[in-house]
Amino acid sequence: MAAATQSHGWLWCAGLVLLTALAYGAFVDGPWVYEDANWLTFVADPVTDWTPPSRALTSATYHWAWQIAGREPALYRLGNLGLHLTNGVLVYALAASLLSPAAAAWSAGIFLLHPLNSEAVRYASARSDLLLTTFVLLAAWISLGRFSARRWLALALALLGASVSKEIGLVAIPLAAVTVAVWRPTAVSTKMVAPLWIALGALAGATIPILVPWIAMSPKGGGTFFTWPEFALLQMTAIWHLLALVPWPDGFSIDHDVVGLGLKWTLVAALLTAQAVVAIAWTWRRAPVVAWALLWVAAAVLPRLVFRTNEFITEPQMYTAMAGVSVLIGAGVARLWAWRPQPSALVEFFSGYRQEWAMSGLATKGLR
Amino acid sequence: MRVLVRVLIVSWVAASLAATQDRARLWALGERALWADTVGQYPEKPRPWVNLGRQYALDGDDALAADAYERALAASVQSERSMDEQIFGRGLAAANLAILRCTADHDVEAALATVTPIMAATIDPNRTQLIPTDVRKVYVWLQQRKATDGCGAPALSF
Repeated sequence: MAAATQSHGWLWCAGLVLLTALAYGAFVDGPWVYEDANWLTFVADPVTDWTPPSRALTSATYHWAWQIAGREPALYRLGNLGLHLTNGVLVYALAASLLSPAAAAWSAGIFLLHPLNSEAVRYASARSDLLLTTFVLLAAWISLGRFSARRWLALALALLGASVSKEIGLVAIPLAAVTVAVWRPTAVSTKMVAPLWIALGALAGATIPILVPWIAMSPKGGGTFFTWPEFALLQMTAIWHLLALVPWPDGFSIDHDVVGLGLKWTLVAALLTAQAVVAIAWTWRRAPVVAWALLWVAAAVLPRLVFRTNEFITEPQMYTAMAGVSVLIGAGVARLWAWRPQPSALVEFFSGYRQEWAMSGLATKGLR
Repeated sequence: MRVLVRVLIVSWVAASLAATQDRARLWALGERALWADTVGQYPEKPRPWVNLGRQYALDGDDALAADAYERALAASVQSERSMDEQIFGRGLAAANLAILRCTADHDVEAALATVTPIMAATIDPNRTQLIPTDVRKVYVWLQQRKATDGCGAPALSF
């Protein structure tokens, strides 16, 4: 029975993948857009420095597409769509390890078809976010299985893949760590896991000289005039503004006006952040999927709060976080869908009166 | 109650799917449609106006481009805009407007008058960054145009 339910879940997943391919497949044509032009200048001459963190792998995928299709956009967009479909399957696999097949299918469906992810799929420049998410999801999924030498190798390769997909690829380390900490708490303290932490610590330490200049970015070098507290508050506002588009799917844009949102939004964002922190602590043991999903979103967007660029977070940059959001909402929607309202004590109390009254002489004689 | 919950879920799924299709369709139309959509949502923000103006200019709609750049200039001097937006928006809108006045109207003097006030603003050492540098380049380029008779340069994006 469980196996049958599991296979039904995979069938749903396959159906959702097909639906997504159809939804986006019709729109692979169309001219290049905005920052795509910047990447087009490099497609013939890919990045050769593979030292993490970098975009060397992303650059190589552009180069492969260029070798086949030159500068025609369709293949680049199909590449993005292929990665998105892969990520949808990985969200299903990850969610199926944590939730029921129905909840996993809802999670994959939300991830695959929600409009907040549409810019990442359509924008050739957003390839790095798609590729990073592929490796992050792989790492998380691998870390949920039984530990073995082969799995260690696969996990290390997934983390390495993330670190050469995008400069903030090191975010894969906290995301994998969050997954292990929440779902494999006993494994965290075993000697088996020690080499992983040592290796990850060494990797993170080695990249600090690269990361420090990003933290101290000046306005001259692509940084912002905002002080760090101002920037972090506005960035937090931008993140919550984009997250608000998940339940209310209206108002998507290539460029959101974060500064114009005003103080009200900033206050709401600060309150929601505080509430999320409390929710993580409260649900850690009671509802680990909630704690895990919230931590996933937090870890995915954390670099955006630290690196003071002159840009606020955009829709494609929410793509990795959307995996956590999708699992959280997928679990909730599956529960709501299966929900059967139980009569409350009050309703039962009054229904007792109603039954009494129905059996009374007044009711049976039709004197209502 | 259960039916109501399910109707709400189905409505949300339908609304999300429709929005995904709308976004994919809009992206397939190209950059002009995207920036037009953005200025519709955020008319107070300078960047969408600069980039929409650039698209108009690339399509040869010079009057629309000039109007968009003027709106970008007006938006970028609003006190509630951030320092980044004031510098980038004003610098790029002025530079693009100057290029347009030179290439479309062949009026080098008017073009120079557009960027000269921005050049003055770059005296502040904190503001000598990327965008004023671009403005300076446009200024130098326009001075060279005065000596020759050709105007032709692509607009800058923000």
